[in-house]
Amino acid sequence: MKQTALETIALTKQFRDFWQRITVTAVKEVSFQVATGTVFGLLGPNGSGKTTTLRLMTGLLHPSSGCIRILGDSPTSLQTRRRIGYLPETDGFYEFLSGRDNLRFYAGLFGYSGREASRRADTLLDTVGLIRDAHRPVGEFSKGMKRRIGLAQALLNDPELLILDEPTAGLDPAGCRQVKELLRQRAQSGRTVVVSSHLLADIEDLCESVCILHQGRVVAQGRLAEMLEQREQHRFTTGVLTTAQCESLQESFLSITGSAALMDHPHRALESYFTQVVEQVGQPSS
Amino acid sequence: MNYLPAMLVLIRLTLRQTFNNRAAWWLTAAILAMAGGSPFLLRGDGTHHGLIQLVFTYPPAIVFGILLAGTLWLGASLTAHEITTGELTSVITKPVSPACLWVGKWLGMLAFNAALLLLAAAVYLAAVTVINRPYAEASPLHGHRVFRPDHQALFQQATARHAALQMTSADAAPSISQIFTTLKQETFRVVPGRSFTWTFPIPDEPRNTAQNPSRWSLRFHFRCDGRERVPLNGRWIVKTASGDIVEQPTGPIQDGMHQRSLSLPPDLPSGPLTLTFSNPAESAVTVFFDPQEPVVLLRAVSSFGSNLCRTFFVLFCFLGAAAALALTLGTLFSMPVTVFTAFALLFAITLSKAFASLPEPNHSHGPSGAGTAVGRFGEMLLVRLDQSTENINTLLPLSAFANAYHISNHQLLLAVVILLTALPVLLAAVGAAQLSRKEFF
Repeated sequence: MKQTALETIALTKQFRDFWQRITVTAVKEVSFQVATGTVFGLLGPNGSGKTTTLRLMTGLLHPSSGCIRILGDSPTSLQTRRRIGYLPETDGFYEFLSGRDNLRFYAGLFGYSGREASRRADTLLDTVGLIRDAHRPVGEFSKGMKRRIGLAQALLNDPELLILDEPTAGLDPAGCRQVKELLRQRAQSGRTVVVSSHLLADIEDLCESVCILHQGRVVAQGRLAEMLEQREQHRFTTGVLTTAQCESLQESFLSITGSAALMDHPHRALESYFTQVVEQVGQPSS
Repeated sequence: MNYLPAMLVLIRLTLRQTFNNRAAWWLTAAILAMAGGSPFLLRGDGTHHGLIQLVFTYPPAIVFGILLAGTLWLGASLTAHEITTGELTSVITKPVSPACLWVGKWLGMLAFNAALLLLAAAVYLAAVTVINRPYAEASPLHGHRVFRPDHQALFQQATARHAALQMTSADAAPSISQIFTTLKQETFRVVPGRSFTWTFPIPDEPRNTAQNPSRWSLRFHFRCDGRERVPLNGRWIVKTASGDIVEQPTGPIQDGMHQRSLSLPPDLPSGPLTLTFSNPAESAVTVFFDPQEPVVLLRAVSSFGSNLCRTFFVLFCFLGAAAALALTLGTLFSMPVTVFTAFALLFAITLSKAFASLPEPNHSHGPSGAGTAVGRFGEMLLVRLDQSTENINTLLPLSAFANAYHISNHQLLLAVVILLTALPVLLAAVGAAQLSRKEFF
């Protein structure tokens, strides 16, 4: 039985106007648990309350009712903040500072000394593939580069819980794959990751369990594998068959089940194909 | 001491932010131009004393005004602007308390102000030294300890007259301060052939005459009724507590402010010192001394450089309080509202001071105030604001510096306690509380 890294109980957030009248209820009675060492996905269309839920988790917003326990503590406590990493939806970097200086600044906020802050900054810049642009001001970065540097700042303290809002937005396919691989590795090493995205392919690739929000309410949640499994059908996968073998198999299926089976070549994911092609082109010819 | 590295990176970031701001460079250029250039553009009344008075008055006041405006602007941008742009969102999710965040930014602002003030002081000192060089032998610049005459007897008279008026008059009696001023106006009037004597209490205090030989001088301010341009030939007679008498003719002088050296012993005995002004019988003018500050005795106690440092340190304390105000307002309001509120507050305080210094008939304390209820309410607000900021206003050293008065250790201590400690602590508490409860969208 895995421990719970994050738990929300009947979480509700209402936004009010100047006169304290409720303008919108962004999150309504949302309850879910995230097990330690898993990747958890928050899914939903635009305006479903994903970002609000993440901001409530990080203490940037305060719940109207309900509660959140992060690593057994309140999200606003400094102890909790020492143990979590957060990538916001919008990049809030000091744009006049270079990527390295931004990371060193955030590392300093965790109490790391100058040398340790520099070491962590350089390691993470290398991890996210920005070491060559480390001296450039962040203001000159593209959107994808800003997401990468954002991810690096979220990883500075090697957090037990990583909360990511749209981590792959603006990234190229290679970058997406790199980020997903990084997150998988973190989960394998016992860290917990919470990802919010409306890119279903990313969530499907990454997450063990998901929670689907719609208009601020939880409409579905559970283990992704169980949710997507189609129990009314079976699939067999084999190596390449000859035409005669295929026809023979069809006849066998027909005689056993009374109906013909669907037989075709499986499709690769476009991301996998794209990465392979780009890597091949990038390799120096021998 | 976990907060120390976080505080240090916040200070460093704030310094980089401010120096990265184009407004900061304009601010620096304006300050250098004012501190180093403006003294050479000033034209006095033709006398060296008049020129020095102007050089002491305007450049420091303008430099302070520019720095104050810059501090309010930059301070507001450090919180209000960062909240708007989302820069603070990533910071607030890190393990740094709102109080640490506020203090880090404030200390960064202090470091920025200290750098600019040091630069301004160095440039200003150089400019004043160049301007005073031809007169340095005859008229060295000093910070002076000021001795004012004892008006206790006059004040008692004013109190008694106020009590009598309250008993007899059906209308609202004028205030004691009004009666006191009127009494001084009546008393400090010396007709030809008469004289008037002020008594100065000289306290018993240690004087290191070996290292800092006392230099005494006399400063007086008068006008002549109806015949302003007729020169006056009066005489000052100083009598010390030990009975020594020093006479000092004024020479032919016209109305205004004048300063004369007095050849008094450096180790002047403590006790009452009397200063008599004698208007000769053949004089054609009646002399009206300024009721607020008719005559003062000055003793040089510090060098000009030392007094300049003290003055700029108190200004630094004021800027510290202004930075604290701007940072806290920035946590409460958006950038435009913060800047507007800070400047409106500053304008209201300045207006209240100007209003309080108006002559009596137009002054709100007087019987003929504004007629409408709105006008009376406005007057009341200005008077209250003036009264509530009176303690802080007395700390502002610009007027004392312009008069070459020494900025005392007591004033430095008060500035540190009130402007650099008490006010920032109060504002930090409000700012940190607001950052804790604020929601970052």
